[in-house]
Amino acid sequence: MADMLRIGLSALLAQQRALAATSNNIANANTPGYSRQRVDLAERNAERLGTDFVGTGVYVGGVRRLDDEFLATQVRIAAAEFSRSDAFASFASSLDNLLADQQTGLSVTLQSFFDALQKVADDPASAAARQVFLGEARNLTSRFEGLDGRLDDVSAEANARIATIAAEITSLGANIADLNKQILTAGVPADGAPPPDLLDQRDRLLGRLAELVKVDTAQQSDGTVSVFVGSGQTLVLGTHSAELATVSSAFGAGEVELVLRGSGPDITVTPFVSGGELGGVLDFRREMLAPARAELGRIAIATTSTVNSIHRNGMDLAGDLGADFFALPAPQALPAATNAGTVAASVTIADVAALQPHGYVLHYDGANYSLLHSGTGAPVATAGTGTVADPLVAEGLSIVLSGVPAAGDRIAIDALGDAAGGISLLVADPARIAAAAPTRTRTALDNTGSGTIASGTVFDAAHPQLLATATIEFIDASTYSIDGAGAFAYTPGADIDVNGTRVRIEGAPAAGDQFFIEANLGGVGDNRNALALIDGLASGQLDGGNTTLHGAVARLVTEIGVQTAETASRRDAQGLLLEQSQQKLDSITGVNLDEEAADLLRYEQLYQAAAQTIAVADSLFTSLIDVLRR
Amino acid sequence: MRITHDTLRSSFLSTLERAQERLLRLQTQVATGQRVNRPSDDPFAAARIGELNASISRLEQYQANGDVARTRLGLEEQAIASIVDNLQRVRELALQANSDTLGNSERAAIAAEIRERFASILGLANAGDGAGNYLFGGFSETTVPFTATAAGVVYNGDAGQRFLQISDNRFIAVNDSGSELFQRIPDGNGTFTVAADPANTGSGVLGQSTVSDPAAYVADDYTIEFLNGSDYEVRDGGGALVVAGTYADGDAIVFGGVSIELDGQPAAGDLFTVSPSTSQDLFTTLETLISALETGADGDAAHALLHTGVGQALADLDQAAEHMLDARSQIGARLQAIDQEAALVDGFAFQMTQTLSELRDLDYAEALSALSQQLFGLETAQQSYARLQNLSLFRFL
Repeated sequence: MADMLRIGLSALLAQQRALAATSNNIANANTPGYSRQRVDLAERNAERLGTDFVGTGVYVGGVRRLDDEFLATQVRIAAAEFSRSDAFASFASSLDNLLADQQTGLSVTLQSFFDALQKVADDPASAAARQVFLGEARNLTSRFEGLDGRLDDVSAEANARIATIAAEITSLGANIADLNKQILTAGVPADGAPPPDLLDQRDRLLGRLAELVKVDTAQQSDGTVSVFVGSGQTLVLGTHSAELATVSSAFGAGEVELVLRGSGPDITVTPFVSGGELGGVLDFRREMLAPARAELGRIAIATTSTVNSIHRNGMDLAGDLGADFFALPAPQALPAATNAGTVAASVTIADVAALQPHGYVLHYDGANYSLLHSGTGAPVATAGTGTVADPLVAEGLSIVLSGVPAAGDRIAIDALGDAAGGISLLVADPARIAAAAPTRTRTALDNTGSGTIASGTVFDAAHPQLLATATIEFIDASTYSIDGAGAFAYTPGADIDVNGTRVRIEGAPAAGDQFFIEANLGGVGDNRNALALIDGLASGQLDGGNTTLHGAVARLVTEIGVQTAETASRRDAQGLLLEQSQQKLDSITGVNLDEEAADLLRYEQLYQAAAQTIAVADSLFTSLIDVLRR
Repeated sequence: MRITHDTLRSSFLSTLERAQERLLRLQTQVATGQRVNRPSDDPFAAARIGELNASISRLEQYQANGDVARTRLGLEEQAIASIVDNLQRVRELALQANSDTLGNSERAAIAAEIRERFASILGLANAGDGAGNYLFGGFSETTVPFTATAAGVVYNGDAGQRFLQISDNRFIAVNDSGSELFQRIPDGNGTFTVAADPANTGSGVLGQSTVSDPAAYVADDYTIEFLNGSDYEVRDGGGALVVAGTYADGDAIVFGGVSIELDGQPAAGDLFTVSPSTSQDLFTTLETLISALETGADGDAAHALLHTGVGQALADLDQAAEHMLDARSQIGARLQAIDQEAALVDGFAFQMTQTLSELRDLDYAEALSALSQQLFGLETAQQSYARLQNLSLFRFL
């Protein structure tokens, strides 16, 4: 009977513990990061009774926390991937409609500019048409500026996001190190597990960390966990954690760099960090934002420098030669703050058609300069030595170096990144629009031959004799002189270049026939230079002349659209994957209330049965006492 | 697999989220009527839509350019038509004045009317486009093209011709300069001109002159000199004798591929010159005619000079009228070209608009049926989740 009492009591206690665990599970069913717990019951050692063994009851073998390190790792990997795509996609969608809006998109603005130019060509003397054109030109520069400003905002937003995430990673690392310490202090029983609430907390922090950046973890035998970011840089080691900080880049330009700050010197980890929200923002900045800015800059530079170069070949209403129409920003060349030497670079755009939409880093290794693609780090072929006489030439840029370089010195070169925002309109007076060509032609009235001369085009407005009257006189039907000198063979329709003007004579001129090239003074109805501008802007300006401005805009819109659509669909796929791995983990660690209800019933029944055992033991004892009392 | 309550909840929520996202997209499409609302909806279509919008705008601009050109050329055509009418009237007047029955005062009256016509033609040559620009000034649109001076009418414009773009690769001239239209008019018969020496004393009157043999004609300044009433010598610019002949009243003088009709009786020492045609401006032709008519013609010799002068003026007027009609038919050809290009451009624009609509616009039937399908799916999911939530063992405890 004493045995029965003892056995019953052990059962009561065991079921109480089990009921307590079940209640705890129910209580924490909605607690994030909670892993359900189960009481492991075991039978007590049996007692020997002669030749037999008799059971002595039940005891609680332990409270087990149900988890699965493998599945938890899977979830963390999936979360890092999902967060990366999610961050990328949400930043990408902010660029999505930037260029393609049907009312305000870049194509529409460019076309309005071209159309306004056509109106000037329709009626070059009209002040109204010229005013409209200036308005459209202003509109174009402010559109470029607006787009660049929007990209600037996105860039600033990305930088701020990076800083916030880095701070959160630092704080998570510190918390994990702290939990490691608590787990160490709590002490791990030789055959048991560390306190489950601490483990739950640490897992939750690791899960959050994985959403921010891709991490590698290593479980140590003492119960602590070490965390590594990037390519194995330590964030948490045992009870110590490092700080992930943001610093401005060595070139002082807008982008921030990530450094890991521990006991030693700072380690730059920007290129190594991947995955998670941080990786997503960094990838967005590198793969989408920087190329988009550079391409926008390239389109802006191509548009405005084309207008400038043709406009300079024209003549305005006052009879003055055309000046630059737009002011273009100078390319940036920023030496790194860490440079030991004094090398500096002065960069100019030599060939717009050869420009490529990315920046560069010029690196000096102690003997030679090498030019690297700023995004991929791939080397770019160069020619020249970098002196004024023989500049370093690569992809449309001409680089002149000065100062004394030291090995390891770097210069960031960017001709396009900020270009779109730096363009301004130089012409404010509608009369200053050079719609006319500076020279025109005239045929002497007493010519007897049938030769005709076209109005001609100006190819070199800087020619000192451009505006001087030149006479082409035919010595005979097949030979002509220019200003009384020379005897040139006449080919009908061939180009004749005189003082920067190119003319063509056709037909059969007779001896003594004269053609004149003279300044186009008062030629306010001339639209030749406006037509040249239209033609120049409609023809290929980029990629060696193969891509038109409209083509480049369309390509940029497509690229941004494709990247946005791609990352959005990748995010959806990663989301499903994350959901699946989370469900798998939950199927081990999560609480099922029906199951707990069943357990509740089970343990309650058992508790009642055990209580009944005690009652029976009591009744047996009473029976015995009663017998003895008689 | 073991399903936890949280799994049920989170998977329901993510399903709900996805369905709502699809609904939002469909709803945006239906609200805007456009299939592509952001480039990521269909990147290639989005870029194409941008290009098509730009192209359509460009084509519309070509149409507008064509309209401008049509207006300009229409104005020019009207001016030229009026000039031709005036020239016609001047020609009639000149014929009338050429009659021997008219006296000096009657000719002076006719000259006065021609002077009126002259003024009218000068006015037409200075016609404007209604916006303050002159039609016939070349590039110098804002300068009065022709001004009358003591030395005659001078041209202040230039030879410029403006072209407008009316399609991707078609440019059309929208003006003709005053120098081409009014000044570059060949005189005489277009190959050579004949003239009588004002000092002639005989009654020889030059009639029609033609190139009888273009191959034999050599451009030079020839002189026909009558040695007496019938014998003449033709000498070239260098003084070399080309041909010597005998003339009877009404005979043509033929040499070196040219044939020159002569009437009346030249006197000894009378000179007639034959020189290659050059350009003579219309106003000079008219001035010459007027001064010929205003010069009193008394006596045979003077009459002969008058007839020769008026005859030459008539030839010059015919050249001028022909030149104007040429210009007019060129303008007609340009107007026709504008119409043709406009039709082509219209066709392109229509096609592009259709393509644009196919790329951009929403198929409402499809979108609305998808929308109702999505809504149905969403409602069903919500209902089933609510039912599932009721299935708890705790309800039975």
